[in-house]
Amino acid sequence: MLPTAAFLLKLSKHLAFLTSLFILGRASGRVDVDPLWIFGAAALASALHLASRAFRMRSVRQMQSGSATR
Amino acid sequence: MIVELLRPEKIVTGLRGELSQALEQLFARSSFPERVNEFRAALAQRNSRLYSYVGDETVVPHVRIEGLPRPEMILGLARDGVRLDGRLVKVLLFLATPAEWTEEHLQLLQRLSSVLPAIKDELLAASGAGSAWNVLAKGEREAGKATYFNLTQQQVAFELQTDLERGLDAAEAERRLLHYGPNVLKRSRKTPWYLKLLRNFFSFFAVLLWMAALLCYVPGVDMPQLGSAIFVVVLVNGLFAYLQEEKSDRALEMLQNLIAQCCRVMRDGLRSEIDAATLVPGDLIFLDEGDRVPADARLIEAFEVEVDNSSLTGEANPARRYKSDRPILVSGKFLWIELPNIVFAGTTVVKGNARAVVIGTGMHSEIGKIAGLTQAIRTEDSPLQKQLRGTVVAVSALAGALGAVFLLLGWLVAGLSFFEALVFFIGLFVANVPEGLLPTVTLALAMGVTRMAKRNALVKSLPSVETLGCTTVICCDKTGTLTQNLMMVTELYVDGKRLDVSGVGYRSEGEFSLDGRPLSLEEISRWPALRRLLECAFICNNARLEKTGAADRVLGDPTEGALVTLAEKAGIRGTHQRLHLNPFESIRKRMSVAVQVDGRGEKLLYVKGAPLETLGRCEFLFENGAMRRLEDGDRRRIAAENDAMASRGLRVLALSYRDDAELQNASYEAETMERRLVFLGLAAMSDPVRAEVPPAIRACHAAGIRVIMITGDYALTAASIGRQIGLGDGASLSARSGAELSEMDDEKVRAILAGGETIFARVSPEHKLRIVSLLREMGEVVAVTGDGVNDAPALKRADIGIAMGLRGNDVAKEAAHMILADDNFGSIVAAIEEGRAVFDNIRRFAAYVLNSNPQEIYPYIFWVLFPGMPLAMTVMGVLAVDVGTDLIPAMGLGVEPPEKGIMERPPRRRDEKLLSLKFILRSYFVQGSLLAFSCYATYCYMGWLLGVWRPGLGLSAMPASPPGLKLDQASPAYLQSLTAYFFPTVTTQIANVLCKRSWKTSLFSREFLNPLYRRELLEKLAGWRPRPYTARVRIDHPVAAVSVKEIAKAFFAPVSALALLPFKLLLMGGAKIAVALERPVIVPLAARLSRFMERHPVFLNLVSNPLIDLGILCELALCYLFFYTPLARIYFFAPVPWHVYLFAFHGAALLLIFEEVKKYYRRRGHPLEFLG
Repeated sequence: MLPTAAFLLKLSKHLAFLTSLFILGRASGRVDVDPLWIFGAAALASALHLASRAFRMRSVRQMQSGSATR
Repeated sequence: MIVELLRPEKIVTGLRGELSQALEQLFARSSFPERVNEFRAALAQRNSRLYSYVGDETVVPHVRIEGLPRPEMILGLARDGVRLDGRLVKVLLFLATPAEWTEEHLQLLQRLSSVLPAIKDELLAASGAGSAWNVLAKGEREAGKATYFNLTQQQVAFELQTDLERGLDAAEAERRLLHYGPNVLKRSRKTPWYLKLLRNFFSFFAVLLWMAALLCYVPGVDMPQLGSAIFVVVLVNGLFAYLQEEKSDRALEMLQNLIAQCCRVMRDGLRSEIDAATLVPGDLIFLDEGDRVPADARLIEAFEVEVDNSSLTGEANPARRYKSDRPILVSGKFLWIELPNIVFAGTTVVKGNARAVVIGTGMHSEIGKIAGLTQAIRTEDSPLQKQLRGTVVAVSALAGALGAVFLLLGWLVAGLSFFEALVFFIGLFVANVPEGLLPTVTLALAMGVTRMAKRNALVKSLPSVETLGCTTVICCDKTGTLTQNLMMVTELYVDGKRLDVSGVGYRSEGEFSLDGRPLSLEEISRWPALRRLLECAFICNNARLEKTGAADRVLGDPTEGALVTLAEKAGIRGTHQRLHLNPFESIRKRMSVAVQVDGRGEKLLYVKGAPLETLGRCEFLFENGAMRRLEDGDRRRIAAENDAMASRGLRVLALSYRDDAELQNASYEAETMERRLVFLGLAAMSDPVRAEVPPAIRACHAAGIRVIMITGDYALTAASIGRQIGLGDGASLSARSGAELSEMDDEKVRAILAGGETIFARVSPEHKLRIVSLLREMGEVVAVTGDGVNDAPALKRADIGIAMGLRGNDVAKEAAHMILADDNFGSIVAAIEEGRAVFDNIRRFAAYVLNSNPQEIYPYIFWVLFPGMPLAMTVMGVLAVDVGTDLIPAMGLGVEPPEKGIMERPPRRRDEKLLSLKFILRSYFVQGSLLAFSCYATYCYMGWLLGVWRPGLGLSAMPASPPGLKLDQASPAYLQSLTAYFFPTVTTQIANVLCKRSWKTSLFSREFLNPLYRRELLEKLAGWRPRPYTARVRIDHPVAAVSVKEIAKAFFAPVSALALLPFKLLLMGGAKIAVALERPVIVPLAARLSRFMERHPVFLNLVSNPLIDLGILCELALCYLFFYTPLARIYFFAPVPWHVYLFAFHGAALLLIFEEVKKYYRRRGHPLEFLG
C-alpha cells in the first residue's frame, strides 16, 4: 500500500506541474489544450494526492492494528 | 526525591525553644515568604501535630496549600531539642505541598517517615547545612528509592480531609473538582488546527496548483474562470487533507482509554455511579472483579484482591493487593507502584473486591506522570530524514541558482525571448531537483518495514528502519527477550545433598540425578525427605499445568508452575483436601497451605517462601527420614547453599512443613501457623536462555553493536544470564544495581557506559530513562526494549524504542518505534540487518536517480551555449523521464535483500552522509556522462538515418527546434530526434538498475544472491502450482441501506460486479485450463525451469527481483505509450525505426561492461570510489 501511495503522490505532482505547463503553453500558443482538460488535470491531481494520503494513512493504521492483534 | 526538593540553604541548624518558635525560624528560609501566614494558619487550623510526630525525636509538620506553585521543604536541626507536647524533638522538617498534589504529598510523607528517623543521629552530628544535606542525600540513596513507611488509614483520611465511612460530601467534591481538575490525562500542546489547515493549503503539491491558478490571472493568459476553478480545487484538497490528518493522532487516546469511564463512589454516605472524570482525591470508591481502576487509591477494605498491573509495569502475572493499616516501615526496597495496599489507575481488578480512597487523579496519578513524561519528550527527526531534507533543499537551491544564471544568460546573452529562457529554467530546475528522491526513500523504507515484519519486527514509523541500521547500542531487558519467560527447577538441595533436575520448560518429562546418576521413580519414592519436599512443592501451590497440543502451559504464577512441573516429573499427585491458604505477601515473603491428607486425620501445613525468611521460621530439620532440631551450623550450611545457588543466577525457594500437635488446634492466622516449621530443602529454578540469543549476541559483536542488559531482576541472576548469552565477549561481567546507579553522578555512569557491555539490575524506569539519555548524549544510537507503561518514556527517548508484542501493553507499543511480534532478541538483530540493507538500498537508488540527471541537463546546456544547436530533450521529455523511469525500478532496488557480509562491518556513523558532494559529482560526471554519451550517440544515429548528420558534422546539423520552441509546429524529423535521445535514457537506466543491485558482486556470478535466498527462490519456482480461481459474483446486494455510504455501496456494488464479470470469467477460465495442465505440463516445466536456473545463475539473478523486472517492463510500456499513442502529442515524441531502438541498447551494454570491471577491482580490494 505504501508503494502505491508514493507512486500516486508522484503522479499527482507530475499532473499539477503539467497543469501549469498547459496554461503557459496555451497562453503562448504552443499547445492547444481545452481549459476543461486543464481543469480535469488539476482535479485529477488533487484526487490522486488525496488518495495517496489515504493509502499512506491506511497502511500506518494497518501496521498499528496488526501489532495490536499480535 | 527528598534531596531534589531540599537545598542546603533550606537547612537550619541550632534550633531551640518551643516548636512554634522553631517553626518561625524555618519559615524565615521559605521561598514563599508571602505564603507564610497561610502555612501558620493551616498548621493551626488542622491541628496537624496529631500526625506530625514520626518517631525517634523527629517531627514533620506538613500542610497542603492551594495555589502553591511547587512543594516547599525546610529542615531544622536542634541538638538540644525543641519542645513539643512535653517531649523533645531534634529533627524538624516542614513540608508544604500544592493542594492538588495529593498522591505526591502522601508519597513524600511516607518517604520522610522512613528516611529521617534512620539518619537522625548522623544529621545531628553534621557540622553545617552542607554536610547535613550530604547526610540526607546519602541516607536517601542508601535507603533506596523504594523504602516507605506505611501511613495508617486514619492518617491518610486526615491528609486527604475525607471521611472513610461516608466519603466526601457532594459540595466538597464539586469544589475539589474545580480546584484539582478532572480525572483525565491532559493532552500535550499540539499544533493549533489553523496552522495544520494552513500547512495543508501550502504543501508542495498545493503550491504547484496555486502557481497554476495564479498563472490564469496573469495578463496575456487571461483565463480567470479556470483560475477560480483551480483555486476551488486547492481549497477542497487542503480541507480534505486537513481532515485526514486530524484522524491520525491516537497516542493519548490509548492512555486515556486505560482509565475507567465510570465508577462507583460513596458521597454523602450514599453509593452512586459517576463519571470517572469527576473523581477527586478523597473520594471513596468501590472496586469489583473486572473493574478498571479509575484513579490511584489506597485500599481501605480488600477481599482477595488481585490486580492486573500489566498496563503499568508490563508484569503479566496478577499481583495480590490487600489492606495494610499498620504504621510500620515497609521492609525491602519497594517501588511506589509495588506497594501492596495501593491500586493504580489504568490497572484492572482481576479478582476480589475492595473499598479504597482516591489519593491521586488525572495527571497526578502514576499513569498521568508517565503520560506527562512521554509527552514532554520531543520526537526528533531521524538522521536520514534530516539528511534528505538538507540534501533536497541544497540540490534544489543549486538547481534554482543554476537555472536562474542560465535564464539570464539565455535571455540577455543568447538572444532568447524571456519565455524561451523561462522554459529553459523550468527544464533545468525539473531535471535537477531530486523530487523523486523522497517518495523513493519512503518506498525503500516501506519495503524494509514489510521485510522486517516477515522477521517478526513490526516497524511503526518508516524513518526508524534506517535508524536501526546505525544502531550502536541495544539496551535490552532480560525476561522474555533474552530468556524464555518461564521458570524451571534445575537444582534441589535436600537431605544435605544436591540434586540436578533435567527437562524442558513446563513439560512433565525429566529426571532427577544425584552426582550424575539418574534416580528412578522408585528411588525417589523411597527417599522420604525428597518425597516430602516434592509433596510440599505440589500442594503449597496455586498453579496448574494445561496441555496445549505438544506444549504445556502454566495457569498461574510461573514460579509455582515450575514447582508443579517438578512434582509431576517425579509422578507426585497430591491426594489432599485444602483447609486454608495464607497467600504470598511481599512483606511476609512466603505462603502456606493447611491440608488434610487422605488417610490421615491430622492437619498438615506446607510452607514455601524466600529462603532466609522461611529458614528464620524453622526450628527443625527433616533429615534421613527423621526430624531433628535445626542447629546454628545447619542454618549456616543452608544459607551458604542458598548463596551458592543465587550466585549462579538461580531463583531459590525454601520448602518446609509442620504437623505437630499444637498445629492441630491452632488458628489459621499466618503468624500463628507459620512457626516451628520443619525445614525440607531448597528448590532452585531459572528462566532458560532462548536458544537464538547467544548467536544473535555474537552477530551483534561482529557488527560492532554493544548490548547492555537493563533488568528489574536481581543482580546475580542478571549476571548469570549475561554470562550464558556471551555478554562481554568472555570478559567478566558484574551487574550494577539501581541503588548504585542512584549514587553515581552522570560522569561515573558515562564512564561505565563507555566501558563496553554491562548489566544494570534492580533498576526503576527512571534509571532506564537516565541510562538511555546518557547514551544518547554520548552520541550512541540506542535501541531500547520495554513492555510496560513505565517503560514508555525510555522507549520514546530512545532512537529506536522496541515494545514487546506478546507481553507489551498498548501504551508501550504506542510509544515504541518498533514492536517485536515474538518478543525475541534475535528479531532485533534481524531488524538491524534489514535496517542496514535499507540504507544500502537507499544509497543505491539515490545514485540511480542522480545518474539520470546529466542526460537531462546536457541538452539545455548545449542549447543555450551553442546557438543553432537544437534542443534534444524538451521539458515534457524531462517530465516523462521523471515519472516513467525513476520510480518503479527504484522500488525494485528498495526490495533488495541484505548483501553478503552486511553484519560484518561496523555500524554506520549517525552523521554519515547519504549524498556527499563527491558522491553527487561522481554520479553526475562519471556514470552520468557515460549515459549521456550513449543518448547523444543514438540521437546522432537518428540524424544519420534522416540524412542530416554524418560523422564530422556538429550537433547543429541535427533537425532544428521549432522557432520559439512552439512544439506543436515541430517537424516530424525533430520529434523523431527527440525520441532517439529519450529512448536511450530508458535503456541505460535498465542496465544501471541491474548494476546497482550489488556493490562488488558480479551480476553474472553464483554469489550474487544469498545462498539461502537462492535456495528459497528455486524451491518456490519448482513448487509453483496454479491456484484454482472461483469468481465470486454477487449482484443481489441488499437495498435496505441507512447511510449515504451504504446507499452508494448498494448502488455501485452490482454495477461494478457486472462490469468486472467478463474479467472474472476470463480469469476463471484461464485458471481452469492451468489446473488441467498442472500434471502434464506445469509440474515438469517448473521442475525443469528450476534446474535450469540452478545451472545458469545469471538467469536467476535477473529474475530474482520481480519488481525490477516489472519496472523495466513498465518503462518499456510507457515508452510505447509516449511514442505510439495520443500521449505522443502531449509529450512531443514520434515513432522511430526499430533499429534505432535496438541501437539504443548499446549504452546498456557499455554500462554493464563498465560496472563489471569496477566490481572486479572492488573484489580485489580496490574501491575505485572516484569512478562512482
